[in-house]
Amino acid sequence: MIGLGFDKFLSRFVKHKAAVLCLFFVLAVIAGGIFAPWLAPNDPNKIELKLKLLGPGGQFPLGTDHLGRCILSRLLYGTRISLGSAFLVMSFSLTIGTAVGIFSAYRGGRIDNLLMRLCDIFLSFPSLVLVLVIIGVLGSGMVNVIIGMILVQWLWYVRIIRSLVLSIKERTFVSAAKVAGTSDMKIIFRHILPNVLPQLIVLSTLDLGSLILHFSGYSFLGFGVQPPTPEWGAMIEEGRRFIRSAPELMFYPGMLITLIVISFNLIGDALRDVLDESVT
Amino acid sequence: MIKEKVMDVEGLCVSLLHRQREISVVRDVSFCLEEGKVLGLIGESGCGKSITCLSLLGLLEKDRWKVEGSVRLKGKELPYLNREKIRRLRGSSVAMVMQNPISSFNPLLTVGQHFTETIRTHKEVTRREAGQIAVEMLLKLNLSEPEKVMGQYPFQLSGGMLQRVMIAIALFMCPHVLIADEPTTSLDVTVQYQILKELAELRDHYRTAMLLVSHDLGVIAQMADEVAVMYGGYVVEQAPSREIFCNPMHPYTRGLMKSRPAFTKDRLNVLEGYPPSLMKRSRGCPFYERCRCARKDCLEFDMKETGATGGHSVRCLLYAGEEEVKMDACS
Amino acid sequence: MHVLEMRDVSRKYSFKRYFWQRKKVIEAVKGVTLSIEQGTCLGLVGESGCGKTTLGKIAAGIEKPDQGEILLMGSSMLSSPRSQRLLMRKELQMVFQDCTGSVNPRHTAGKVIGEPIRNFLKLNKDEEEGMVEKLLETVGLNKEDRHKYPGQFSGGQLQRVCIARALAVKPMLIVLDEPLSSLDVSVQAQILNLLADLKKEYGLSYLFISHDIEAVYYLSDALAVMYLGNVVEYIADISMFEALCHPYAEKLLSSVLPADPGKIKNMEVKNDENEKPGTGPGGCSYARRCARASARCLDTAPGLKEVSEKHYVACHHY
Repeated sequence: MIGLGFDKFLSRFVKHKAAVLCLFFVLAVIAGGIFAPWLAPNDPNKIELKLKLLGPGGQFPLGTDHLGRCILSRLLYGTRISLGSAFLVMSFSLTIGTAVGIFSAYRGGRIDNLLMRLCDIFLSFPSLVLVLVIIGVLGSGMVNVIIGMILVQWLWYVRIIRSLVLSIKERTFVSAAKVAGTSDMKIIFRHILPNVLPQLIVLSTLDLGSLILHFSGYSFLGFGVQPPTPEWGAMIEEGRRFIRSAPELMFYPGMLITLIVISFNLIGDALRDVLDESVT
Repeated sequence: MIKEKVMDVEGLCVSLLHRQREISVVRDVSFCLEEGKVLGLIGESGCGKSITCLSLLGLLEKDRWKVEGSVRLKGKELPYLNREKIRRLRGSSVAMVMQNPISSFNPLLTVGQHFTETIRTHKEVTRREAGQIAVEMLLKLNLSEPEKVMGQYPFQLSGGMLQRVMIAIALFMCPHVLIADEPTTSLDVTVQYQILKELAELRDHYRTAMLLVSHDLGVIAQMADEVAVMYGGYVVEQAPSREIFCNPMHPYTRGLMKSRPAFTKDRLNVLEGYPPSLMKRSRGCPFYERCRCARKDCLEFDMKETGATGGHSVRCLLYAGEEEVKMDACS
Repeated sequence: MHVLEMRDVSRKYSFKRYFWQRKKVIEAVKGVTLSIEQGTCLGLVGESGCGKTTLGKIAAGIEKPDQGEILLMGSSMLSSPRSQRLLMRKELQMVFQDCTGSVNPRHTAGKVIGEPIRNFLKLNKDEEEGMVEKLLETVGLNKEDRHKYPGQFSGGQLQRVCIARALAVKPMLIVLDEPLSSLDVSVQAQILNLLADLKKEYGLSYLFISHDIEAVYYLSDALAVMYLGNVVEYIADISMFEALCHPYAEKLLSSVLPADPGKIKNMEVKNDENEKPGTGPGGCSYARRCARASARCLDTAPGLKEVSEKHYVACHHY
């Protein structure tokens, strides 16, 4: 599909050692989230005030929080929501953005103009403000934050994808495909999409990190996940009050977010190198 | 008239350092440029002609290219190791005109800014004096309204005009040597004709020695006094222009001359195959695979000059040892 | 029988960068009438920017003209129903100047050549594969080359792949838009020979666009000279080459440098590049550069008229 076989892709990717390490880390975290019910040593929501703010060890490998809940279990369950929502936002906004971006660039003319001005208007606001407005209308809550983020995020992709498609649309092989009698739909799926796909993969990997960060940010602000649901951003927020007495409450989720974001960035960079090489 | 050797190149070898490998790109190239004369260099893509030009100017990066051999300018070895000295030489003693005029200019600077900047790095003059020199140079190249051109940006000028500006910039210091790497390839034939005409006039006026690189036999025939044919990094044949066009010896030169459709409808006598790629350099004659009179020992041939009579040198086993060769068998 | 007839074809491009700017209109092709006889090659020469590529794209059906009529084997291309237009597309193929850019870098040669076959002919996979293999051999490549990606071919080989793609559906006319200019000299000759052979073997017609007059002479049976969107001279028989007489055509011919030092031109000063100001919009488009321009040339544009049999010139002096 993208002009290089899987084995070749793998052999090139393996050369980026840091990225491979990061990939394993990300996969491990994802696996932790998926298998949380089996891996978690305790119920993440079980409050036992007698056991609050315990240090690591024994029944609680990473200790307990201010309500006596197991931190490790909460982190594991939190992965489901933090990563899951980021993937959800990414896949929806990327799909919508790609479809609209390709349509806009390929059609051109007045529709393209109209869509781009619309994008300009929305993109002139900081995305945080825009999401807050949407949450203000829909009310707070995890689902509404996700909807808000999708509504804001796809506009970015439209812009980027449109410019990628425009540059490929002008290449001679698109004209050649027209001469060969290929229909517009087929030109889009066979010629244009495969040529923008590598850039899209890189872009979305890099953006995943920032989406996780954003989502956790909204939870931290109290708009997203409502307590007692475990989520990394929300956990940081809850730990904030105990920053002096028990800094580890903020440290564990904060560290996890940082590592995940760095990992996605490194993987994205490596993918860019690998996929760029494939064309030359 | 006494011919003066301006630039003397001997045994120039350039190799590319690529993944712990040395890929030789230019191999044992020797020639000399004489005052007021043009040496034409013919060759196809990947034969090493552009790299030869760049190495003469010391423009190849030290950590990627290995340059061996001697290049003497007016009897003095070129100071390749001293960056500052070679920079001073460039532009003042050795100048270059590149193939693609539009990409050789910074799109954000006007023609005048390009001009005065170059002049002021080489000559201690005020901005205004530099401007005057520039206008004079442009007038010499038959550009009408040079003042207007000076205020324009590169993209506002046509390819022919830009190439003229580039030649003017190259020649204002009256360099001893002008290296022109495919100066007319991207231009229309009518414009090419005029640029060549102007180059010829300037050569006569300044007595510049010129190295003219081209793949176009017509351009070379028109301009060159001496011709060197490059293939696979070697100069396979070198002779005075008339000699090489009337009596080409190397099978590649012959094939090249025959493959041009010179207003005929007769079937073209083509060279089969494709020019060898840089990465696949093997022992023996690089032309072996495409040669019609290749023999087994060609693969063992060390590419030494085999025949050099009357200034006509060739590197081909056909001309080694026994004098008479069955020329017809190859044509 | 004419394969393709273009009648009074025009194409304008308008540019507008900002909405407050006035539209800038460039007329790439201005009322061109040309026809190509079946089984022959029409050469089209002219300088860069004279509209020859646009005309080629119109002939190949990629661009639509703003005005004029295009007839394929006598039936109109533009006003035919959609289903019939699709059939007509099959008869018009094109080979582009930049062979590297005209193939999708992520498709193998086999996929590139197979594209028109899949679109126009309903074949099963084996038949298609066999056809691709045969085509590769026709253009002088190996069967095994169909698995290679464009990056693995040299320029000459890739241009052969492009020719195979154009040939795949057995078109009547192939538009060759500067097919040689990105190739090495020795490879140019190979491609010229290949094109000449294919023309003979399949009875193809070509519209051969080039700035290389010698190559055009070699391949063409008829010749049109274009200047700024107009055809300024047309000869229906290439053997009348010597009779070309439009001032621009003459200049073009005199600029060709022969590869023979015995015929070196003494480069006399012909300083007509400098444009003369003061042509009205109605004048001859070449008047500003023409050494022979008179007052009449400046106000009225000459039409293409027959000066002798099969020889048309657009110039007031003939």
